Amino acid sequence: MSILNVRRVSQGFFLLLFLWFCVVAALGDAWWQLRGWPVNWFLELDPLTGLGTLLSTHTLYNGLFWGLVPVILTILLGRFFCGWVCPFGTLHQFVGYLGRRRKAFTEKRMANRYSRWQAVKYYILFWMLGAAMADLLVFLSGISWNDPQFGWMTAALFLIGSLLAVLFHTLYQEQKRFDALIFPVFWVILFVLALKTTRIFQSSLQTGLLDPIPLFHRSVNLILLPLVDPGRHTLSAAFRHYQGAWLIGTIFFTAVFLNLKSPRFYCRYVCPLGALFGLFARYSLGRIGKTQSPCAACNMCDADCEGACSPATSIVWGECVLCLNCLGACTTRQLAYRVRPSEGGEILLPDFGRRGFVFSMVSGVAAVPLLRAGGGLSHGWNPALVRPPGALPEAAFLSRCIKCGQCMRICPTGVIQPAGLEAGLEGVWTPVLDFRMGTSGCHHTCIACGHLCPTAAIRALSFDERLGRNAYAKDGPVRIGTAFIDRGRCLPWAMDKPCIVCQENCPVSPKAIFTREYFSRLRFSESLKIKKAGPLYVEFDGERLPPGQLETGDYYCILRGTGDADPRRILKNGADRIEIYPQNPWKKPPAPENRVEIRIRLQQPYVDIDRCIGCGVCEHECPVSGKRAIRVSAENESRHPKHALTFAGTHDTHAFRKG
Amino acid sequence: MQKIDKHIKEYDRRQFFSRFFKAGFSIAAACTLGYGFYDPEGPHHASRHLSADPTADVFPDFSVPEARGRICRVREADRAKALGLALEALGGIGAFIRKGDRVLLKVNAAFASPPVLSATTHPLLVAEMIKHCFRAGAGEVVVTDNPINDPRSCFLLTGIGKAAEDAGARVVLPEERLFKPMTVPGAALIRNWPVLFEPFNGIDKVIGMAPVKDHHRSGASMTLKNWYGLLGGRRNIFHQKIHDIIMELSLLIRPTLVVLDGTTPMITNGPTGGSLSDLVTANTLIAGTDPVAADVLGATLLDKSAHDFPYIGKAEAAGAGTTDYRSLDFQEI
Amino acid sequence: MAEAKRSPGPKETLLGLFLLGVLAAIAAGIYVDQYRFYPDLIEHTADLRVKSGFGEGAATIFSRFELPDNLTPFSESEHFDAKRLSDKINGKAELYLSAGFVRLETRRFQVNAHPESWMEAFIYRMRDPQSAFAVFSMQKRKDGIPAELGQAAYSTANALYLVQGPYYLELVASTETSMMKDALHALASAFVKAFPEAQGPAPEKPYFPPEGLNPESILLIPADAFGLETLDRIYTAEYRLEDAVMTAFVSLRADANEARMLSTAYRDFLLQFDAQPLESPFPDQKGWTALSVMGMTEIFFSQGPYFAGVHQAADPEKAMALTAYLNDHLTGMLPAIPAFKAGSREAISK
Repeated sequence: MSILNVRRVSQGFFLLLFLWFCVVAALGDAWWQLRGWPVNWFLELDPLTGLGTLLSTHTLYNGLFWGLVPVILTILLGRFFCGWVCPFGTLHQFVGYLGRRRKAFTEKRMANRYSRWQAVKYYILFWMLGAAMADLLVFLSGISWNDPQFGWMTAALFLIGSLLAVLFHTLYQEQKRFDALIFPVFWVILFVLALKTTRIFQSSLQTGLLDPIPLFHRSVNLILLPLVDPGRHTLSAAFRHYQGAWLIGTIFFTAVFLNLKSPRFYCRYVCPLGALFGLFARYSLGRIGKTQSPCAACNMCDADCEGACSPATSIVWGECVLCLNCLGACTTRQLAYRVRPSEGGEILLPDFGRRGFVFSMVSGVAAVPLLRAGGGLSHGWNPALVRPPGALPEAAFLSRCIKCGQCMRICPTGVIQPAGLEAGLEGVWTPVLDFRMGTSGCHHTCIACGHLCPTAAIRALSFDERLGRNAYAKDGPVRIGTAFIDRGRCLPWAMDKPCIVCQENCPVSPKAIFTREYFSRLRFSESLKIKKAGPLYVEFDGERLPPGQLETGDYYCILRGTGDADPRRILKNGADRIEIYPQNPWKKPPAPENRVEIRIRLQQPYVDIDRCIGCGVCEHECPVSGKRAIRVSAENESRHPKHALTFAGTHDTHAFRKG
Repeated sequence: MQKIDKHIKEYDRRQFFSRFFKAGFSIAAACTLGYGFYDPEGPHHASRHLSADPTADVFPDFSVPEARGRICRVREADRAKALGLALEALGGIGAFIRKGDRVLLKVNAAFASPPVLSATTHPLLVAEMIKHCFRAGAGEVVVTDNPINDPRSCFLLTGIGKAAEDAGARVVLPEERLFKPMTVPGAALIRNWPVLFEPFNGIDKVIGMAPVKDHHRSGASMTLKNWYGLLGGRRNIFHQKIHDIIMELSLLIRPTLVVLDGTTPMITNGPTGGSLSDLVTANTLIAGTDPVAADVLGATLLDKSAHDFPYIGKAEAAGAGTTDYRSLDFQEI
Repeated sequence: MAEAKRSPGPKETLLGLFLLGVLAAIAAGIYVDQYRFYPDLIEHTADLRVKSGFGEGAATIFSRFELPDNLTPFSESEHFDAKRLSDKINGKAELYLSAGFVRLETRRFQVNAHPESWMEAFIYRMRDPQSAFAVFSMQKRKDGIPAELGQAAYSTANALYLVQGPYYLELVASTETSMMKDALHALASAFVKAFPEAQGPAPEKPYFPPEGLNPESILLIPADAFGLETLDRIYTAEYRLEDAVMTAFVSLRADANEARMLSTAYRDFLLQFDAQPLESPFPDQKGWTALSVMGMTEIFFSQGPYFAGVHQAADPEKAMALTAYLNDHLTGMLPAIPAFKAGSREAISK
């Protein structure tokens, strides 16, 4: 069994497993539905998610503990994840393979030449880590002696500190003393600042933008699956549309097709996860290298080298993805995976230099307060940002969301959409609810999204908490916003047309929409002249009435000028005549000198803000289908007590304690 | 040759062990980090409606035990003179302020209005009160309020800031760090709500000073409503339950004295007023230890009685004072 | 791939096999894991699942509620879909299928330490609460004693019948001992606790005016009522007027039009059987149809969206009176009717 074939089997296995997890992420208990499939396993294995959230929330949440496994194995073996496990990498490798099948040997070699630009992904990684790390540093600077975790924290800090010192030492290329000071000075400044102000120093988790696992999940969930869904509602409850999906698709397909030009383009130049693994692989016990130098110098190994790490010369070990193609290609058996570094020389990492490192990290740190200076998280908050139920308050949310799209995938009504700029640049592709899309509103007994979120950006609510029962009865149900009626567009308010679709569909009990009756006078009724009338009918001069149009049971006839002003319900009408329901005839039939009004009975809706949970079913069902006449916005959402409309949500202004 | 080979082997071994240790070290660091920060449960639900009552946290009782139950009404056009007469009738400022006391004056500086419009406490009255305090031997006098409009312009345009500083007091403008969440026991509204607490730290005596005003929502704004200026956060929401909040405020703080300025009460278009025609001349000053009684007296200046203001009844029922001012040591001048 | 032709050595093969073993272990682990359902999630989002035309998944209803301590299952739980329902209950399947049947799960339990005391639980998942109520009421035993469980329930000597939301439960026991009765009750309570479907007043009660009504007699006929195919979702109830027992019926249609059409259709249907019109003592009631069919009186009308009347009554005068009573009651229930009353214009609908 050639090890290369094993690698191919492994790649195929994990790619199929990944796609399978994407397919089964639909509610249900059939074998091809959610059941207990661990659909977030790849996201949990992804150490960049774990590290990112560790920095931005100073916790390692639940399943993200899995991230330690690839880290430990990488420290021992090298970047096996990239070459053997990563499904995105497999896809790239496959397309790259298709692209170079017919190419000549020299062309293939040229395409796999090591390039300085492979350092870019490290810059991307440092930028993302910089953006995320504020929270951990603030936390560490605030930790006290009494905390039971103090011991672990100190130990961890000590170890990290030592590692950073070593790292710094190796990056330290020149003898200039001043340059050497930049690093420690930077950390000191950060600590000092952290103690004083939280405005300058904030975290934001942006790893999800380019981390391959969330990216691949996002692309499959929002583009590929909706496109291939056979339409018999097999893969999801309804045909899925996702706003702004074109951008996600473009990025995905660009990344995929770029492999035709340069194999594993994404892995080599963009992937921050690969960069992270590259850093971890420094001290690996086994590495690929030449057993003799000089070797036969045939350069066959470079022809199919996936990582562009140039095994033919000095191998850049941090770039090797352990595809082992070089081992397979070497005709003279002079390449091997062994303990000793390559006889032909080894370079540990692409040269990104101290300055590059510091600059990218500092820009990451600085970017966050810059993005938030507009007040988007405080006074300038966007009421159109309706987040899923169980979502954390916004700052905490942005520290956890990896934009994987799992919540969007599982949502049974398809209302969770990837955000555009509603949540600012930081919030691109984070979940936001759009009630015009999908098949209904946010179903008020559904707790799916939170249970599927791998980082707890959306908390897993219990059924009781969602509905506000038992232990949560005092808090009431979880609210994601409030519906507001646009009286200028609502049919009974502005158009004299009866409609109570919103009230009928309101799912909470008692309903959060109530109606008040209003009899609106129809315009043509002013000029009606009575010709003759009986106890149950009236005839008019001329043919003013629309025949048959007043028979729906909503129209009433009111007599003016007598003592009997009770509205009579119209049973039938012709062009010049109306008949009323027999239950309540006119004791004194209308006379020609009386006036008659035709009124339509409208039930005008009102929202009861003490009961409205913002589920959006009303907005979804509203027949004014463009800009809806009842729209939900984020006021009164449970996750932000400061946005409360009434007392129900205001009591605890310091609402969230992190675990 | 052998020596070189041995050297190479040694070098290799050292290299290997060096890497081995570094690798082991990294693994240990990673595991420690992971374990140390491991959080299996994730962020918790924090009850918006606390199931257990948060621990009660109110201001200390600033009233002087020997000098309780006193109230007086003075008819005098000049404010400074009226204040002097009122304090005398209550037993002299010395009955309330001891030597070395640190005194805080809670004024009404809610709007950036000129003093003549009577929407805020009159600066002359503030200055006079400060002088009395110093005469009684006060160590320090602090003047504060959490205005509705911008604090700096409020204290400036009402004249209170300058009057206070000229008289030797210290003006404290509200800042976010000066607030802390406080809870009135048994309250439904003031639970963990930010209150302007810091300026009261180390204070021995508190004097509330407010003008008599009509108020569109509560009916009147007098000594009890004056404490609204201690609330922080988005306190506007309490306007939906204005009488309850005033009642809870009366339980939040018990002052040493209250001074109610009815020289030119605002009888209509309150609380901002804006026109001199909103005022009448009543030339009355009310002062005492019982804010409920003081408000009842103030109500008469608005041609109303205690029954017209539900919050007065609620405050009395809650034990903040009595509406029957005649049962107190009531002086009329 | 520019792979050199060479055969892998033994070390390589061993390593390869080991790695393949790791992959197999991962696959096995995942396979085992998928049986541990996400707890809250699957249970409570039953209505939201992908509509499967492929058949339902594994039976899980019995795992969703806590069995009482003294009961142990002694058979596997079986489940039946529409196609196989008759395998279990034979001819009765017709009733369920026409009412809106989704799935049946059954299991047998025995009382600990008393192997001769056992029972079988039938849990019918119907399309909606109305369908469940329909099959519940249609099979109501005359000697049933009402029980305070779920939305509606009654027990007989050896069985307990219950309706809760869209579920209809039949618990049938092998003995009539009181121990068994308690066990039935306990099992039913456990079920009700685990499926707290939205409670609300029974939808059928408001249709029937209270005087003379036997509330336990309310039935919902899902389809084919009185012999006419288009008469579906008809509620019937027994009334006692003096000493005459009569059957009244009410059905809420989509709108006034449909009610009127149904009334006409039923009249035409009855005319086929030589029905003769009866003289109505209420001359104003033009909308009524009063017929004498095969010696029995049939009176019915449409009032707004309601189609209602009295079915196969012996005494025409009493039938008329009951119809009038019914008419007034339904008239009072029409949403627009408050406007007929002088005074408040405000009608706040729930």
